[in-house]
Amino acid sequence: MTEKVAQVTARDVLKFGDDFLTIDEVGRSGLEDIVEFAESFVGDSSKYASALSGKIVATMFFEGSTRTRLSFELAAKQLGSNVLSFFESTSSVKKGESFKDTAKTVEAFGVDCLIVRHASIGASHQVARWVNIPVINAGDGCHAHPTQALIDVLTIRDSLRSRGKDISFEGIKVGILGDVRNSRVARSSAKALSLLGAQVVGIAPALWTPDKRSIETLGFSSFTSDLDSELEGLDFLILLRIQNERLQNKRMQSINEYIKNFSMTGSRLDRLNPEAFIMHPGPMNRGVEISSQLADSKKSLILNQVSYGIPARMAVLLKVLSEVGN
Amino acid sequence: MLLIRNGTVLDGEGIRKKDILIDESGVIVRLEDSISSIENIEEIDVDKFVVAPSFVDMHTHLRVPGNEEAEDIESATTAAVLGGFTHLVAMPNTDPVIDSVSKVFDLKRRIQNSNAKCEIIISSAITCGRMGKELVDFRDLSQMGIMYFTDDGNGVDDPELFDFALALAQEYGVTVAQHLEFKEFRENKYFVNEGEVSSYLGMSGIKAVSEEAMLARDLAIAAHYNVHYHAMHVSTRRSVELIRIAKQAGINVTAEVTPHHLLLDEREVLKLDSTSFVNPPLRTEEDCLALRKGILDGTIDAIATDHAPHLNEVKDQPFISTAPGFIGLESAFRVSLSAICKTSKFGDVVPQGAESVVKAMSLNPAKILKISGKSEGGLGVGSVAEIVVLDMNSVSNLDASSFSSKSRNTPFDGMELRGKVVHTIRKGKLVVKNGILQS
Repeated sequence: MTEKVAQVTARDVLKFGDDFLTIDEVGRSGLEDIVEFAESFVGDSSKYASALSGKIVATMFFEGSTRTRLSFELAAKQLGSNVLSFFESTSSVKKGESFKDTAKTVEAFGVDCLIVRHASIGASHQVARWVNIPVINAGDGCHAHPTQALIDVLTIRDSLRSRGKDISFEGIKVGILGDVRNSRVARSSAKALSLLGAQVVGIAPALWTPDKRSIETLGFSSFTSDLDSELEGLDFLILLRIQNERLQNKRMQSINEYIKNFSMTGSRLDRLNPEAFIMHPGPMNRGVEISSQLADSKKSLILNQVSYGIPARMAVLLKVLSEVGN
Repeated sequence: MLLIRNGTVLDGEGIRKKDILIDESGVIVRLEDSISSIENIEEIDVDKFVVAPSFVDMHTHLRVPGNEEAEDIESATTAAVLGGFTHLVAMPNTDPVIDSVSKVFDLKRRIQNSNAKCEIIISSAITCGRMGKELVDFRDLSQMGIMYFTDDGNGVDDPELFDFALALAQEYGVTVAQHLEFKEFRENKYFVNEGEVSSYLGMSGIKAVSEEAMLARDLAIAAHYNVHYHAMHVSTRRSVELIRIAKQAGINVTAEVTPHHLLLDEREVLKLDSTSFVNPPLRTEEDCLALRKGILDGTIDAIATDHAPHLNEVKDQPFISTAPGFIGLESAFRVSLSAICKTSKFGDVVPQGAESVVKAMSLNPAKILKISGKSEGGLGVGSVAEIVVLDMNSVSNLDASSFSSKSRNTPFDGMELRGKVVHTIRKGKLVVKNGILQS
């Protein structure tokens, strides 16, 4: 295949009434537009305190999550919206009504926006097709998690700005380390960072690497399984959560095999570029992908990421549910 | 009696313009350059159309017994004749599975008591319950007339068990047809080709090698027997290559491809629409081109629909739990012609490539299945009139809402497609006339 088959054409900047499903759909200008809007009210969002009053935002989570759901709900409440919280395990939905009926039912309650998290890829795309209100993707399987990508962009810009550096991503190098093959965070963040000009390097065990033909489309400039040789050259390193069930199967023999070569522990910290910072979307497995020492150190931007969760999601909600910021 | 006028006969015996007269008993009694009108005999003028032996589908999921809401005997066979088919092979992956004499007997009786519009050929599973553990009773089943065995939906993973199955197939002179897929290769349940598109979307898909490795193994086993082995719905270019080599080596292998694998590739999945998921999955563009070439050069013998009806409810579930498959009987000819004759010019009664489509949909499957009266091929004097009349040039958008199937799971709805099944004649009677079912 010579032509990149998986290219999605960017639609436009995010507007009133739109869905927000992937980074690819908004493209570079749409991404910059949301990020700059979020930055315009970071620290003081009081002027939007009633921007969404009278609206109802529903979080429909078919998969466990703490921070994503809480930060979406907090974001909506800080904008004056009502919040309807819906959580159902995949198995009970399977038994009962169809996924489509569930989505249509929630819409029929008079909800203004659906925030969907699902273990199945494309779930929010399906819902967006079935309902007439904006749908926001809060994570679909290993596919996309676009608001997490906004958080990572905001966190990196903040880190650069606070050190008096240029907030352009041209020339910066970001590593994404872990089970990239099975990570929606890696997919969305790599795309967002590369759209803004960063060089994104995937670092993963060989069997945790995406198909070679898709690497460029996903936003990675290269892939390596040699973490140690990359440590010195990185400006930022995003660690991915390692799911326990992935640590003992045909692709990875044991947790020790992973820790030996890919965990940010012990001597690897010393070899990291002194100017580099560490990020992690959470929840962390301390002692697996990251040492406690590093997680709690000054090199960690992990809590900054958490705090950017709210403005990032406020920006998206304001864009799709109001004329503010359009 | 029926007189078919001015048709261009396409039956593997050379393309020629003929009039055909069919008598009361449904037998072709005259085939001449020009037959003068006979009083009180129905005549149809098929100038500009092709007259060919009717289609035979080697791969229909009848959904009977067990899932009659999705399809039943009448709806499936109505869809079949509207699609130009007069014969279909019913897959045994029903509920219960057709894997014993008594289950065959029950299904036979249901067919006899039904309003079936075409012939239904019953097939049996290879292993009990399609579980891949123990073989069915080939002896009793073959004595009952079952000639076609498949675990379709599952491949037979165990190499020793498959070796035994071929030994029995040789002994009783029956065909073993394999659903080519090593289950061990499948990490996840997305029915998508493992490759660029799946990786972009984060889906764990089905590797091409899960098909190719089983095909290579099966061919190695089949080489030790004097047995007919049939490769079902092949989907990759390397599978086509393996079949080409096996045929050159003298192995008695035949192969089928579905219409959808001829026309669509993995990029469909980027739409994130439930009607893109099928097993085997839609493969790469390169695979698609190799499959078309396989039909044109005869490496692939048959086009078979893999007609797999599912109710909408199934398609309204998340992709991870969606049931794979498309309905195909009513679109098979148009989709296949559109794929194979993509570059053929319009206006020709027989466009370039159309002969291969007709061979793959009628002559070859009839031969493979040894259908009496049809396996000899041509539309000759003395043969039973099982005929389809085809328009090779009309172009229109497919409208799935007009289908007779009970299900609507098709990726082709609204798509612009070439060709049309005009008339279907079964045992000398017009069962479909101008695209409309005759009562």
